[in-house]
Amino acid sequence: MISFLNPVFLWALAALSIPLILHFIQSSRTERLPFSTVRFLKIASKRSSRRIKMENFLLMLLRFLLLALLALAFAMPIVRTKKFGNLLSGTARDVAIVIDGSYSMNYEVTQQVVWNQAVELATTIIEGLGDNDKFCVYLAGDQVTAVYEQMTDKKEEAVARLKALSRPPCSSRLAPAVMAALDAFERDSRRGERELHVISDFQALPWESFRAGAAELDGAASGSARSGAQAMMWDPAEVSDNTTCFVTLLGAPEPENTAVTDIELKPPLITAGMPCQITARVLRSGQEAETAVSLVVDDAEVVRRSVTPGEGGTDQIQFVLPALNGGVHAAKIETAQDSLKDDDVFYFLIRVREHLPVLCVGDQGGTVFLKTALDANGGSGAAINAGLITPEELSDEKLRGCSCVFLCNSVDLSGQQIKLVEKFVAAGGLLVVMPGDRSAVEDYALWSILPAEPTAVVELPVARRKRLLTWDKPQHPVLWEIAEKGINPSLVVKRQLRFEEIGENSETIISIGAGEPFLVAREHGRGAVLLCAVAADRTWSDFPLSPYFLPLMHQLCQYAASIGAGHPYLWADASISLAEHLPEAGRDSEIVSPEGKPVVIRTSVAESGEVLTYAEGVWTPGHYTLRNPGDTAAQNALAVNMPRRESELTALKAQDIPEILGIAALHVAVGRDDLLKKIEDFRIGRSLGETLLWLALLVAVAEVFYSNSLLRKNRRLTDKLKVAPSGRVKEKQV
Amino acid sequence: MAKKPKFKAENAAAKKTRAPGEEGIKAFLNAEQLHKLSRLLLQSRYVVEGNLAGAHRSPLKGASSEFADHKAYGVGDDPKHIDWKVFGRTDRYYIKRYEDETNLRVYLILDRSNSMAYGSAGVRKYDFACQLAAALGYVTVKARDSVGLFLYSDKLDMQIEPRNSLNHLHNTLKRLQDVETASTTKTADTLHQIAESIHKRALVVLISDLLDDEREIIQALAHFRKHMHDVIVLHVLDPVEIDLSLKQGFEFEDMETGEKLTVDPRGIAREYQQELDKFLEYYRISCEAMKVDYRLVKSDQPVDTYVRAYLEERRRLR
Repeated sequence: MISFLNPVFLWALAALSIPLILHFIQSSRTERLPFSTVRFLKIASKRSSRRIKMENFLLMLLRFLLLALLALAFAMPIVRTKKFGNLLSGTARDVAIVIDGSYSMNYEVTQQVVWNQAVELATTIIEGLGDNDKFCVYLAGDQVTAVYEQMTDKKEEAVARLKALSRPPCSSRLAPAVMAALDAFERDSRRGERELHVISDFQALPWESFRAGAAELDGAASGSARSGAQAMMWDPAEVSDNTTCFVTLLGAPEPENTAVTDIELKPPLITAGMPCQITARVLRSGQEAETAVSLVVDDAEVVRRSVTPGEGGTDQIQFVLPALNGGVHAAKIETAQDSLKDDDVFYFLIRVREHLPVLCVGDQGGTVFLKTALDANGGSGAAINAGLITPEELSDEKLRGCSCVFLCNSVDLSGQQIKLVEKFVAAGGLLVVMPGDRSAVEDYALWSILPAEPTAVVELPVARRKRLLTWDKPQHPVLWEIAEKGINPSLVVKRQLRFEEIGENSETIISIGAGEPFLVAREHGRGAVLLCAVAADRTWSDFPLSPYFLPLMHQLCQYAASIGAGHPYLWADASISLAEHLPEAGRDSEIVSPEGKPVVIRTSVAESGEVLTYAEGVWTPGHYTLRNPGDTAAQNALAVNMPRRESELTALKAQDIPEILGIAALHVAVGRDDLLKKIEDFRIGRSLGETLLWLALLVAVAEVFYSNSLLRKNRRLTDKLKVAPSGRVKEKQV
Repeated sequence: MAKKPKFKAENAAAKKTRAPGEEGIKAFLNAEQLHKLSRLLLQSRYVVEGNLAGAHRSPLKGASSEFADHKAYGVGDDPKHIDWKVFGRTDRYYIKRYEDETNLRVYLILDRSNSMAYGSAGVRKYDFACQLAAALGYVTVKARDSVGLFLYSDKLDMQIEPRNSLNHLHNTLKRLQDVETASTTKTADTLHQIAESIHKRALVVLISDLLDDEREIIQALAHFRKHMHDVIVLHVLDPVEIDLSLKQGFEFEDMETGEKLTVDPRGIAREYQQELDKFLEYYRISCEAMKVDYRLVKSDQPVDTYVRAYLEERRRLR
């Protein structure tokens, strides 16, 4: 039961050879001294040889003992037995505490939240430290938060700070926090013994970070206490020999949880009076159990369903949402309350528009079929509001509010107009380009966002005009309705654009004839661009007269609505880009959190000069409202949910932790009492370093006294004889 | 016979103790020392026989003023010495006899064996012994007594008959000045030889470290006492020889036999002192029994101071 805090000093035991070496050196360097007679020396030497050997042996023993004690004292041996623990004084130690800050720590067991137990346990550890001990505290989340970065001995302040600790609803990675704690040891530790305490729940996810790659950990540690981040990998070899790790698992060993992890709206953009379908993905941890799931829209429960996800699996549940009025509706899906309440509600927004705004650019003749098709009810139920403008009238103002723009025979726009359209696409709009006689092939070269560059306008002979269309991407949202209806794709084409090759990021959705691209798509920014090979009027083909022209145009509008609709919910984060998720918000806007507190809006200027706006500290799950200057009432703007990574409560077994950490000096405790017992068992071991130093001092004093006594023990014969100045020997004193 | 070791360093150091460029007594004693010594007197504790009238009692009855005893008048006695007062009381003729007073013959016996070359503080025992002999010789001559010298090692190396003149002392010391230590010691044999050569009762002063067979030396001293000589033994030893107060281990080499022994004196000092103490004790007790004046003289003290202290005490104890 002996271990050494500084085993490197055991090499100093080699110093035991010093007395022997000195003895031999001294023996070989004996000086010659002429003396009157060696008669008495011989007799004395013979008589005292045994005594001298004994004295020299004792002296050498003392010196060996002294050097051995010094070497062992600096090696700081620890004897972990109760006898020594009770006999000797305590050892000063440095303690680092890492607390799992993930929201799975909010799990309730027998009316007690695991997080509170963790804080109480950390408090107990701190309060149990001695006056000479120091400690630091780290909170493990997605990023490492240093509660006490430097070693401190302010116990009362630390306890108060721990109890008032707030933490974001996030998952956690323990490895960066543990490494930050080890860094604190290396940076500040002055004591021989170190204890690293990791307090977590039975959740396996935080421990995966110990097996994660360098890049992942590096990302987690950026901006944390572990600054100057370099590629960090968990390496047990970096843990010093005098560091003992205590891992405490709190809460339920086999936790159960049900949570909605994702939802999907179909169609993504809903128009007024149009029903939609909501699909919720329900995750179950633990044993199979039936759970009630209810959909609440605008604080009114719309529907309640029962679902039974399998053990450790997911299930999908679908709700049909009745027609809603225009506007942004706050919706949530609630599961029955379980032990982890934080993920029992899933928030999202349902944006319902009165109509779908579409802009057709071209002349009256070229767009007549398109305009007619869009104004008609195409069977999708969408209320499309199609506007028509000439190419000259195209401006930023006209584009605002539109989700889809059709360029019919109008490619030859000015450079400024092309830039406007490109910006519109990047912001989430859909651009559909349809050729015409007015547009020359060279005009397409001015565009940089087209999915393909036409090389020629081809006139087809009469014999080859009837051509078949092929749905190359039937799963593409544009073809959802058409492909399912099984319309026979045939077309009479007189003239068409020819593409030598399509762009790198482009795809052919519909091809014509022997694989020639007919409708090519490319994503640009948040939006997309589609290029058709034929015109929107009858001059190039009978495409506008075909039965699938109308549904295809309507589907395009739906597609445009979906890509520009935005996501129905966001994950809680430290900052959210308003330009991306809430474009209507500006610097002067007021965003209010579900708790009724205003959200801080921060702006920054990008290198391109663009002003970027962010909402800071969007951590609270729920619906956020927005009020712009001049608005009379606030409207629902954001639905924020905490990340659902921690909702999957994969149970961790205590016996797996040694393999995960790879540390030899590891104690795994289950629960508070188990940890306190392990700490007590561990701390009864006291460092003998100080005691050995005292012993060495005593031996040194004994050695000095003994060697001096050997030298001084003889009274001089002159003194014994009491020789008078006249040379008379007065008397003999024995 | 063991090879004679040479100790040039010690000899060179010893020569420095003698006054450079001086001869005779001045080579051993400076003017101040001579002045101090001039008032002292070396007296014999017993009656001695000398050639000249002097300050010392003689076994012969002579013409001094000090009454000795009466003797029945016989043929050939001078009638002027008849004690008429005794005749008046007893009707018998008695002659009044008086103590005779004679001069003192002092024989200095000096050991010049190699062991006398040892000296720890720059002063060799031999040099100290020579100075001691010079001082005693000077005191003797100043008292108009005669002083002679025997120098020996393993044999009698030099013999100078006693005279009572300063010139004689000067010449004696001049010869001593040129003699260095040499050879081993055979003190007992030499002392027996000297004892046989001195016919009249005298004061014999032995100056030596006595590092020889102590029993034989005591027997030789008894030889002197048998011849009714007054014997003084000045046992000259270096302080280091007495205490073995050396601070490190050495390879000791016997200066007479060349025998070598490596020991740490700090470890054996106690046993060494015990042995030396027994050695000295034997001399002291034996000398006391023979009424030989035994003195242990350390070579690290000024000669004049020692001689003064010794003679003062001797005068008081007479």
